[in-house]
Amino acid sequence: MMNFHQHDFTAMASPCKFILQGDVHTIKHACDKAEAEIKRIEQKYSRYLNTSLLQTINHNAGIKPTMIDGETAGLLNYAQLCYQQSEGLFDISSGVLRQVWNFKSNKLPSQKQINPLLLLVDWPSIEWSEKSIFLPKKNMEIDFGGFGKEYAADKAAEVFQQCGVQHGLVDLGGDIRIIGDKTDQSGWDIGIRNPKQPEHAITTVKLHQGAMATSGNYERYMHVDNQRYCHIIKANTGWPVNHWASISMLAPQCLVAGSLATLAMLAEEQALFWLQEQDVPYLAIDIHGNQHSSF
Amino acid sequence: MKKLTTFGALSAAAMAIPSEAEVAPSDQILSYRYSSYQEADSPRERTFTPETGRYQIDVHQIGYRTPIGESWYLASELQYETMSGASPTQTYKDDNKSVLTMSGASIEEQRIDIKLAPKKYLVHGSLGGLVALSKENDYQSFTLGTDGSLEIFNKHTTLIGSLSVSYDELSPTDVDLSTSRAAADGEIKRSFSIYEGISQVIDKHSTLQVGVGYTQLSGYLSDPYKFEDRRPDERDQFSLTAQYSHYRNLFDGAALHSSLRYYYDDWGISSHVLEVKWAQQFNLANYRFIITPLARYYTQTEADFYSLEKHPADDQLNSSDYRLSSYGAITLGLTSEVKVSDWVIHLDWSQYTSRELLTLFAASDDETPALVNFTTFTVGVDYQF
Repeated sequence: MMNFHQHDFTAMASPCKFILQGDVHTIKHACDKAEAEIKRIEQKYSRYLNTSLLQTINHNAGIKPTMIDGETAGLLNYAQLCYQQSEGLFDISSGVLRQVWNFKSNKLPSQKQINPLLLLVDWPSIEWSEKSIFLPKKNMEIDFGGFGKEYAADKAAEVFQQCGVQHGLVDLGGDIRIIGDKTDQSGWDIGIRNPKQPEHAITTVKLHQGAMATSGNYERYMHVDNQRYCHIIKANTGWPVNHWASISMLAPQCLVAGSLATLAMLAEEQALFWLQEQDVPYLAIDIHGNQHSSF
Repeated sequence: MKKLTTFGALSAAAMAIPSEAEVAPSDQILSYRYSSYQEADSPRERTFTPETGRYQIDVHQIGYRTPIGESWYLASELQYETMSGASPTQTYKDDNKSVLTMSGASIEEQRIDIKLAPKKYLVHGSLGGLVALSKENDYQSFTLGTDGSLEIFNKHTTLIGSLSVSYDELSPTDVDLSTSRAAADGEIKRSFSIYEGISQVIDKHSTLQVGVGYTQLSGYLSDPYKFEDRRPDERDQFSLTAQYSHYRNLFDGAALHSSLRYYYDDWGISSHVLEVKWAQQFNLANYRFIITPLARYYTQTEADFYSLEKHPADDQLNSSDYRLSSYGAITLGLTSEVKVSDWVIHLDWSQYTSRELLTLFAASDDETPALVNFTTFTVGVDYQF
């Protein structure tokens, strides 16, 4: 039995880890490169760094277009598809709503506060191409918070594969991408959080390849009048979803698994039918604790 | 929600996100190589001069490669060679047999090469430069070059191009020994080379690269140390190459590299090269081994002015240089590397054998006793940090 090597670090405001098997030297070298790749993506698309490309795009809102590279254009195209596929519920310009949704306040925003911000949540008005992007209204903003971490997990796994690491997984705050099966081909046991007790697993799945991502209402939320308000906000109404506690998806890419989970959360009661149509393994747990699974 | 297609659509869009760029290497590498090149003696029974020991060359090479900033990489190399031994001066027919004369005293000389190659990694490719300087006591050479690659069609296709020019100056030793040496003193040789290629990923396991090259040489192209060596002062060379690589999941990874090259020049020489290599990787504990056996076959036709006449007319182009004769050659070799921690150890060997009869086209009845056989042996170490 080959030893497991674990490398822990923090990135994208989440606890992250790599679990790997193989030659120690290759692994150490690859860990440095993979962590550097994750930090590269974080620095490029961070909302908290004024120097990031993302913040430059946002600062130029209503002023001028910003030049972008192929990677960014690819992510914008991906965001566009998420918008279309969710019929507008998933919108990377919806981050402005965070101004009124403060989950530490335990107070709900008023519709009067939400309405002016909804005018800034407007992906179709954004002018973008392969080369540049322009947010037409001042104070508009975009972010890749909805899928940046999952994208980074995929890219880190690719770095490992390029460095010759064949057995291991990337775990960025619970979003998992398998680099390659265990040396004995027995599969990696991946726990799925219990939404009611997020420190505990409600079940585990065995993954030999691909990725698993979960979208849950337990990550950031508040209770007001006995109702939970979570951080997943519908772009058309400005109000949080309230049907599913968590949805976990399996897909070849972590990016796709994560977006499908979020889109399903946004679809609320229509999600089950939609999930079955996708023909992708899922575990959906509603706010009453009922489980629906195709695992 | 729209039906059915979300998973498929998102997967396709995710696949289409391009990697950031051709990633600039991030490690510094310091390397050292020692190579020994040993030519076999010329055949005693056909050599009319006392000396039969041919070239022995020892090469020491130090390389240093380093990233500079985010997207630049600089490769530098210093090479020091010592050569000793004699070389053929003429082959001619005597009593219907080819005989060979060799340079008398054994030559001892040194050569120093310096090479600098910066490379800039761009979003869809790279752009490189080359400056090289080579100095011997009787020859110096200066080369400038540039090369570029451009990745298109989602990195499945890469266009490759390179361009170089060189300027060489001859200053033969002991100019009072022969008129050809005196005549060559201060003479210039120029070259201009261009290569265009395209590399295509065929599927997950294989790639194909084809290319076309042209080189123009001009100036003093004769060999001042040989007798009766008078070559044209221009040479146009064309080549067509195809390389196919196939990767297999055998043990810890294997690759078959095969290449074909066709060459033609306006001196009347055409040649074909076929090369096959098998690179096999094994991992054992913390060691990674790559063993690569290779076989190469070479065949060429002779130059229009190649002749074994002892005293050709002075106004006639002439050379008896074996490299311009009709012959074929086989190279067998083995390269090996072992990687452990930050170190890579290299051990390479090859054996080159050339014969008149190995040629595939337009064989000549003339013997070429100057045709050379040689063995190369290399040991080296790389340190990556």
